[in-house]
Amino acid sequence: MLGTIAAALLTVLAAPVDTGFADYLYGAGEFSAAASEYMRVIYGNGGDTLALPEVSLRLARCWQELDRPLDALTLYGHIASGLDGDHGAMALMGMGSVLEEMGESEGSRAAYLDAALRAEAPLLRERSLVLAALMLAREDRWEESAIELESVAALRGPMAASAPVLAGLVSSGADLPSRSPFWCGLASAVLPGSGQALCGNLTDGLIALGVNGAMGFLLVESIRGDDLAASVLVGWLGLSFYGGNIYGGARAARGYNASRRRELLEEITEVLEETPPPPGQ
Amino acid sequence: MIVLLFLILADPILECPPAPEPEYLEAGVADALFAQYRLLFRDLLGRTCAFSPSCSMYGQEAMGSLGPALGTMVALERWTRCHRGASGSPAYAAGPGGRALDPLTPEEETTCWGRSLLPF
Repeated sequence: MLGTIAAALLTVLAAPVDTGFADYLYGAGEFSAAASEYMRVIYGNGGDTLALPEVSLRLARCWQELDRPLDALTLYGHIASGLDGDHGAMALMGMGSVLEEMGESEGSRAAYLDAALRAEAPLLRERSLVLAALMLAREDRWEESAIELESVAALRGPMAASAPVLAGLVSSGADLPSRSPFWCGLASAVLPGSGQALCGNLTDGLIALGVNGAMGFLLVESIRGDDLAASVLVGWLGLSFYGGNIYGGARAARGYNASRRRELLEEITEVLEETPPPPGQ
Repeated sequence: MIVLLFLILADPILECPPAPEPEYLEAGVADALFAQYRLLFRDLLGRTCAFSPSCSMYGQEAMGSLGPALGTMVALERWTRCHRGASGSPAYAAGPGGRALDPLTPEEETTCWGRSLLPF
């Protein structure tokens, strides 16, 4: 009898932690409810986050998704400092992703590289290396990033399909078409609207040309008519439009450069999102 | 000469500092004018701007951070760009409500690539 009770107790105590409902919520994108469930599971098992690393990692990810980066970073950091191997590496990857979203590229790259060193599974190692390389691309260090991605592709591991595509995209970053704000501003100073047109904003350029032409015409007419008040008013307004047009030329160049860069970053994001999830997910 | 003058003026505009609290009368007058403009065109006539933030908010911010002279230039420049083609233009990122995102001081582009490759 006692033996049966002891066996039943042992079975209950040794039973794996049931996170089925929390995992369902997590999979459905209900991160707030999932975080509550994961916390309930952790507290129900003694409150030790390191004893349930996978649950803790998902809790941190929930906080990340819920726009609580500092809470997520703290939990990832706690797991990374307390665990070695793949769980520690995953926590470091999580830290890297939070830092990346906070705009801390250098810290993020350091976390990804640390994760690559700590990871035992090739999938984790290669993903960390890819992300570390991409942090260089984010800093516009396109060529260095491409070299690192090519070295990941040469491993012929789990990222063998994505890494060469990413390397190709990143290497094209060095040759992104660009416009000089100074020269576009100067072009607009010489011919209003030309800087905007050079950056592909033809409508803006035509409007700037028309407005500045009209203001110039009105100014000449008011001076010819000896109308001092009108001349001062039109002159001030015309100069404001003209100055704005020069600024607009330079701004269009900056917008053009930012737009080309944004398109490339979006292409990289698409490739990453198409990367198949790890087996078992 | 005028060209050089305006190129010198354009540089501080491009490196636009954050807007301080308005300390001068012009900013107060400008704030009131922009509020009236919004009341008339947006609230009464139902006009919508192609941009986010709207031209009046942009102009108000420009006046506050750059002063009346440069602020007027920047506000007028934005106003000349505000047309139907702007909201779908690839030159701008998509903002709230399908409007073109065009803040006075562009925010640094952030990525969330890490999330795509997190294995959990």
